[in-house]
Parts: sequence; structure tokens; C-alpha cells
Amino acid sequence: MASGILALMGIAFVAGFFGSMAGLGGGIFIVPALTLLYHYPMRYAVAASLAAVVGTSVSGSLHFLQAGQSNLRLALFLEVLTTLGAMGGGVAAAWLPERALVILFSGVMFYTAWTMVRKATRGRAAPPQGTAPQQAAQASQAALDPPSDPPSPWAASLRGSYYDPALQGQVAYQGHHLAAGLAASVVGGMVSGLLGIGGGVIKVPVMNVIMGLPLKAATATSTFMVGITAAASAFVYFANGYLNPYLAAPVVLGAVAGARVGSAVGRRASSVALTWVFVVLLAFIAIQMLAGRG
Amino acid sequence: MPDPAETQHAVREGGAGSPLYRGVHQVFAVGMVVSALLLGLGLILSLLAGRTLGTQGVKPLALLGNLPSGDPGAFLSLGLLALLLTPVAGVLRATLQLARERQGLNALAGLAVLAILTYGILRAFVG
Repeated sequence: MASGILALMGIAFVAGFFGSMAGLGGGIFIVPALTLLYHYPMRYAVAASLAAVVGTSVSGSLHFLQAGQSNLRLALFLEVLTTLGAMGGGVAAAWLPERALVILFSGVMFYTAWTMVRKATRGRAAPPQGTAPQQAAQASQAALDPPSDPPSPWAASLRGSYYDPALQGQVAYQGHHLAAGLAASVVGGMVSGLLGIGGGVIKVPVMNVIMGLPLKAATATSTFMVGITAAASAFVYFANGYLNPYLAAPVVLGAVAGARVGSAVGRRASSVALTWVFVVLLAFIAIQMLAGRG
Repeated sequence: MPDPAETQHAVREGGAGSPLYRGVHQVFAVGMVVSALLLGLGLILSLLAGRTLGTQGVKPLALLGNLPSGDPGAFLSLGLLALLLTPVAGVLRATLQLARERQGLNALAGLAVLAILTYGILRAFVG
């Protein structure tokens, strides 16, 4: 039925649009859309969502790689454990009861809503001082300040710099606390493999707050990483016969198109009010999933 | 637009415009175009053939064998495969470049990621 495929593409477009606008990636909305609206079993929804996450990650990374904002060296280090976690998550998803997956997914949605509330309330703190280039210099200095722990042998690999058009200057930084980043990577990978989301909601705060990467670098690096992570677990779903091409293909194309439009709109329309709309939406969907309504 | 001097600095530092970033960008761009074309073609064929979405599990690998007969599912499966292999190819490209630049630790990390991904791919293909 042609209208079914087109409707699915439309729903994936909306999910990719809102997910990208909220800075969460499409997966967080695709899985509920497929389970609540189309009544697909969770594993098929997760597999299709993982393919969409790969698509939105590759598409989003094209811009970040050109701008040099992704830290490829750091991404490869963190991906060693993230891919292991993702494959573990993919394997675990095959034997966990469907209800457990739904409860876990709802829990991650509540956690995501909570992190968005924290970000929105923190965003109202004192605005940065000085001209844009001065802010770039301050940002670089703050990021390059030595951490309190002893220098790591990996330090040179965790350094990065990029041109920030908003600050009109080069932002240099030095990542640290690699162990914390690796620990978060395992968790992020497992969550991605189990639930079909990118895991950026875990990786970005850890890279930004704990590892000391500027938010733009953390977001760009996470965008690059989630594609590799999702591909790792998608192969497991592929092997187990959960990746239905007639379901995944329209979801991928719709979500990638939606994410591209969503990120363009989101850059202009980001506001605290919008954040609260997403928080309420996430909480509402999580409750619907827990209640098993569709 | 970035200042040319700053861009040169970024290239020296191995950031934007460096062979590492350019190489991965090229791989991602090619992978995205190829998979989008195959998925698009498969979807058009599905719409023309009046295919339903279906809720049954499908082994995409089994569908690949139907490629010569123009089966929409085969094109969709090939498109999905191209898409999933794009990040893997990106990691491979990055690892080769890092090895060429004699960045041993980073190349080793890339190799480890590739080894894990290869295990997953083999599991999917060989079972």
C-alpha cells in the first residue's frame, strides 16, 4: 500500500525534525512513533531507528567534518568501548522481555527530559562578557587550563581546535578525564544498542562537563560517534532478522530529511519555551509507552 | 568564512581541511549519496509494485539474491547495507590516514574499533 510507505516517511520526517530541533537525534521519537502508532514490536522499531540514526549521523557529520568541529582522534578512542557496549546492547535486546525494553526506553525519555530542564535552567545564568573574539580567547584559555589530575599519556591525542564563526575566532581545547569518558561511552553504547537511540544524550554532557570539551566540539564529536555506534548494533539486529528493509528504508529517508530541516530551523528557533514543549512531549510519550497505549 | 591563516593553522593541527578530515568527509559524502540513491530507487519500485509495509521479520541478506530480478526489497537491502557500511568505511579511512601520519596510538584505537565492527559484520553475514 503506497500510502502506508509515504505516511511512514512523513512520520519519520516529523520525528527527525523534532529530534534534531531539540538536539536529541531522531531515534528518541522514531521508536515511540513506530510502537505507539504502527504497533511494531519494539525490536523492529529499534532496528529501523538504528538505521535512521546512522543516516542522520552521517548526514550531520558532513557539516561538522568540513568545519573541523568533530574531534576524530578522541572519537576513535571513545568508540573502542562504545562499539563494544552497542554490540552488547544489541545482543541483550534479543533476549530481554519486550516490556523491559519499553520500561528502559521510558526511563531514558524521562532522563532526557530532565537533562533538557537542567540545560534550560542553567542557560539563564550570567551571559558571557566581552567581544566575540575575546570570548573565543577566554574559551580557549579555560579549556586549555591544566586539570587537577596528573597529565595523561593520551593528552596529545585529546587536543583539538576549530574555528567558531559565532565567536569569530579559533577555539583550542584539551580534553581530559579520559577514563570518565570511556565509562560513559560503554553506557552510551549499551543504551544505543538496546533502545535504538544515538546515545548523544549521555555522551555530550560527559564530553562537555567532565572531559572539558566545548559544547560545539562535544556535539560534533558525538554526532560522528553515534553513527558508528548505531551501525555496530544495527549489524546485530540485521543478523537476527529484525531489520525489515520495507520498514527501515522509509524511516531512514524521512528521518534524514527531517533532521536536516530541523537542524536548520532549530538554529534560529531555539528558545527556553521550545525546550519546555519538548520536555512535556517527552514525558507524555514516556507515560504513553509505559501505559502501553497506541 | 574562516580566516585563511586560521584555516592553515587548523590544517597544521590536523583539523578542518587536513587529509584526515577531508578523507572521512569524502567517504561519508559518497556513502550518503550511494545509499540514498539505492533506498530511493527501492522505494519507488516498492510504490510501483504496491508493496505493503508488513510486520514480519525479513532477512535483508536473503533479499539481496533477488537483485537481478529487480526486486524492490533487494535495492532497499543494498541501500541499507551501503548506509551501515558508511561509518565503517569512515573509520577505515581515518585509521589508514592516522597510520600514514605515524600517529600510533590513534591508529591503534581505530584498528580496535574496526576489529569490533568487523566481528559484528561477520556475525551478520556468516551467522
